[in-house]
Amino acid sequence: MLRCDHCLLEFPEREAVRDAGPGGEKVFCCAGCRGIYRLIVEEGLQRFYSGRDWKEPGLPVAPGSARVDAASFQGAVRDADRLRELDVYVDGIRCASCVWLNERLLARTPGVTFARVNYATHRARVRFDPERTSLETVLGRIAAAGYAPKPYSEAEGYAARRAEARDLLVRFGTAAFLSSQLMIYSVALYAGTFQGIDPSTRRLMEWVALSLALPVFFYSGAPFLTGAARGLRRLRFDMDALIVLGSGAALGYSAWAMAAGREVYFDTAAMIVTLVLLGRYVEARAKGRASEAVSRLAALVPRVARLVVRGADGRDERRTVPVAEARPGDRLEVVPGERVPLDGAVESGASEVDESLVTGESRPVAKGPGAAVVGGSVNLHGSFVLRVTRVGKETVLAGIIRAVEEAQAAKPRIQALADRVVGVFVPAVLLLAAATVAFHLARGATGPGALMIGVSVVVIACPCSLGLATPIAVLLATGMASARGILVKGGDVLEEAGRATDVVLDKTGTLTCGRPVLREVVALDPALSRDGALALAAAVERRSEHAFGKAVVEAARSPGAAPLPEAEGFRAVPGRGVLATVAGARVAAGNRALLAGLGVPVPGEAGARARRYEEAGDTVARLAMDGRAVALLVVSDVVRDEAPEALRALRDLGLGLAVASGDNRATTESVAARLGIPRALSEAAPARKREIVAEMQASGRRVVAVGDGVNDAPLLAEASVGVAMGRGTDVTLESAGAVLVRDDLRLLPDLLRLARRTRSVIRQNVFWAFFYNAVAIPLAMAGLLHPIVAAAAMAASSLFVVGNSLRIRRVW
Amino acid sequence: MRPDYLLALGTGLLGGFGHCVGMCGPLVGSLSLAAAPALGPRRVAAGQVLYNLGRVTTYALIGAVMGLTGSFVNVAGRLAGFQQTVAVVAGLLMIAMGLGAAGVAGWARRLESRAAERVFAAARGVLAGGGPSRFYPLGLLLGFLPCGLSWSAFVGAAATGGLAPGLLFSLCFGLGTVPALLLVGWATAALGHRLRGALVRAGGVLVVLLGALFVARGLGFHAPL
Repeated sequence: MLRCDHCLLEFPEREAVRDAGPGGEKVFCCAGCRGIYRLIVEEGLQRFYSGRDWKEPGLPVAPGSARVDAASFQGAVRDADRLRELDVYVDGIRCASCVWLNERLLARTPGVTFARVNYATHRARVRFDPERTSLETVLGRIAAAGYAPKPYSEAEGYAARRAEARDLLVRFGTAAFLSSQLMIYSVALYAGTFQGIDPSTRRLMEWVALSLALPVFFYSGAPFLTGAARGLRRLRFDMDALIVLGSGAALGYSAWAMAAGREVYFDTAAMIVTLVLLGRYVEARAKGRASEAVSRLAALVPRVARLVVRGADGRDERRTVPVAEARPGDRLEVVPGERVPLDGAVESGASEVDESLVTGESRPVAKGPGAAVVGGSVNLHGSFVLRVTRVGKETVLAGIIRAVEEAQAAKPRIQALADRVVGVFVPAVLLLAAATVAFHLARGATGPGALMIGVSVVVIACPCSLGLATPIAVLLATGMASARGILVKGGDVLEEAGRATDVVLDKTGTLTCGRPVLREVVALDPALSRDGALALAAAVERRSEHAFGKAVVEAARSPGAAPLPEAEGFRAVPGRGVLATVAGARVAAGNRALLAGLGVPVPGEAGARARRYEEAGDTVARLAMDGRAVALLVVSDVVRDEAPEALRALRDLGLGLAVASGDNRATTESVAARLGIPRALSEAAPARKREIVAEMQASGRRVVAVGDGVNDAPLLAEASVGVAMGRGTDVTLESAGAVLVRDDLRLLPDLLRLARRTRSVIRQNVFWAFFYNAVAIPLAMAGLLHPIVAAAAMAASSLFVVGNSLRIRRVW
Repeated sequence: MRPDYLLALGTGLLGGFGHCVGMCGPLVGSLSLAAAPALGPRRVAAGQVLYNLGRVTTYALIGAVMGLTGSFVNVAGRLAGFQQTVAVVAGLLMIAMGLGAAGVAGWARRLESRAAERVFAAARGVLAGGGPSRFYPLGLLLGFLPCGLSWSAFVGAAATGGLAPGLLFSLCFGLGTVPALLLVGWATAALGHRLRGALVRAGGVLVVLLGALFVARGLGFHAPL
């Protein structure tokens, strides 16, 4: 027996595959192993063999047999600048050498810029240039080395939900397959009842029907069995108990009927399970993706930070350390463009930071010595050194994460209306059945005969269409919504939205466009035209990182405009404005403080005018040239065009409106007044916004919250329904129950109208699902129930439920 | 028991130990091996039983359908006088398949393995992420594996000319294969190459005999069996 030089498997000599190469003569168990060996040698990675430590022989995966299906990875590929990035689970890794081999092989693939494999999780993170290589090539490299690449889904909840849907699908598929066979025999038996059937054939058919119905009830119906057992332990009758009772009674009765020579109900038993499973599967598929909000939020914090330590020689030196190792009191340096690693206080230096994380406003905030900075905010264009004040779980970002988690966990799972009804219905049916048995016994029927009439009452009371009532309506509604550009993540979202009483909207990005726009240029100097002033301002602001500056430059860059004059000596003064020299003149653009600092007087009338704009909520910059104020630039965050119409529609639906914003009072109240919103809450931090919603809900109101920024995530998670604007951040999209993918506020009233209609249709469905059976129950109680009637009643109620759900289509 | 049911059972038994072990043995063996570390031996055994239950269910179903089809053909044939011809054709087909299994005709085996690949891929999908109870639907699915041995049994079921007889015929065949597959866990290791080959050939011979029986019936000879 020889041992394969690659996979260490032992095999008989006559099956040896040899290779004579630079490494000497090698022997392999198969051509596959030889292929891998050659690949490794070609890439110069023989080190793999010296370091390898496999506990068991044999290839993890047969090479080439696992046809890599690139399509299943498509959803996992992310864009990272011009490159593509994805996480792949590498199956078959057994030791550190395998990790090394995969990393090297991937890194050496032309077009791959980054490849790292984690030994603990077997996760490979690969970044590649789509123009030089492809997803298939990357995956093929892993497969060629004898490992199997599999899609890696980060969130466990996502994987669990996928597994649940898959499980339901397999059970439903089995039930459907067996039930369709069962139908054939049932039809034959029904025909036999009317036309006459040979007794031995009949016996055979009944046995076949029984052996088909048993797996449907016990295997496919297993989720209902376990669910009913769990409910009964808490003395609660739920939907599962009803299904088990109905289907089980039909099954049990039919088994007895076989022996007693009566008609069998096997198809009824199987149909109940199959139809309800279909409904459950549809439900599971429609549920939204698991929340990746938390992992996205956590990704906002940089992994490393620049630690500043005083060396022995008294000079500062910088060291890169993992953020997890930083402690309060450490000094960290932050340079332009970086994210602030931790909460701290500025020690030296100055800059402006983008704190949209906390306030939702991307207007830069000036930070000088002594100012507090928040971990996760973006440092714009200055450098500073901060002294760490909070780390780990105590940082502001960690607090936001906790708020999101709490709100999501605290929200109770919305129980379907049907479940509540069923809790009352099932005991009622059992009582009725008992009464029926007693009644027939009193009328002189035999024991088994009366019992069987009682059983048929229970069977007919099981509304199998109940399992379809909600899912079908939800499916239709979510389909209609997505066709319009509204993504609804689940039936419970629709139900809650249908009950909403109030709407709370975020301001920036939701009611407004979210991007400051230059509204007006007021020329103070008659010698300077409006366009000239704009061009001058844009020339200075061109290098500015400020949102304000960008708005000015954008306005000046309209098509057909002359190119901007050159500016030299650009200097940004944090918190005040910008300076530059344009065509020999010293130009400054900034706020009151900037001009005051430069000693530039602003004429009284101009100053008053500026103040009026500011009180209306706009931002005003003063343009000064060579020491004289020459123009005013007014920038505002424009309210959306469609906002008035959308809000009018919301008012027409009878909803109470409120706006909550982290912005200052003047701006918020002016926007609210302009749009006719009665309640305006300003300067609210994310936690405060969430509190407001919680207060409203505690007083019995049902709130729909609409937002787009990271700071809105807790707000959306707390409300009955959170709606995210399409251009919102990833975290908000995850926290929301619905997303307005098409960035149009008018979709909000559309969504709420749809939700109300869906809710009423669901209630109708549930009512009628019971109704047909309610008609049949008296028949059963009288002992007049024919199996045909039972089957027909079930079919009719299912058909009705589907037909009624189609009425949702006429809501728009 | 009627003679053809007995023959079907025998085909399943002998053919099972050869053909089925060789063809599906590795699959079933790897499934139980893959499941074993996570579950105890009892649950693995339960999985095996469920798998075979599912498989036999599918066979019975196919047999019933084939029997139904056969009855149509029979009726059509009776109308046109072809009933005997059908039996002869069915029998000849079985002989051909049996010869293939016996190692005499190679083309039959090649066809078989290519179609099987696709079913295996579907099987992997069904098994993914499930517990031992998944073996039942897996068995249902794999019962459809295009396997020369079982398909010749189904042709035989068709030739019985009725839903009930067809069902019973393939049910007997399926039950015959169960012992072999239940033992496959250690049978694969225990049986050497040579013995396995001999059993396949023996199974093939049985199929040939069965086919000959049908041909004889069709031609009007009522053999003593």
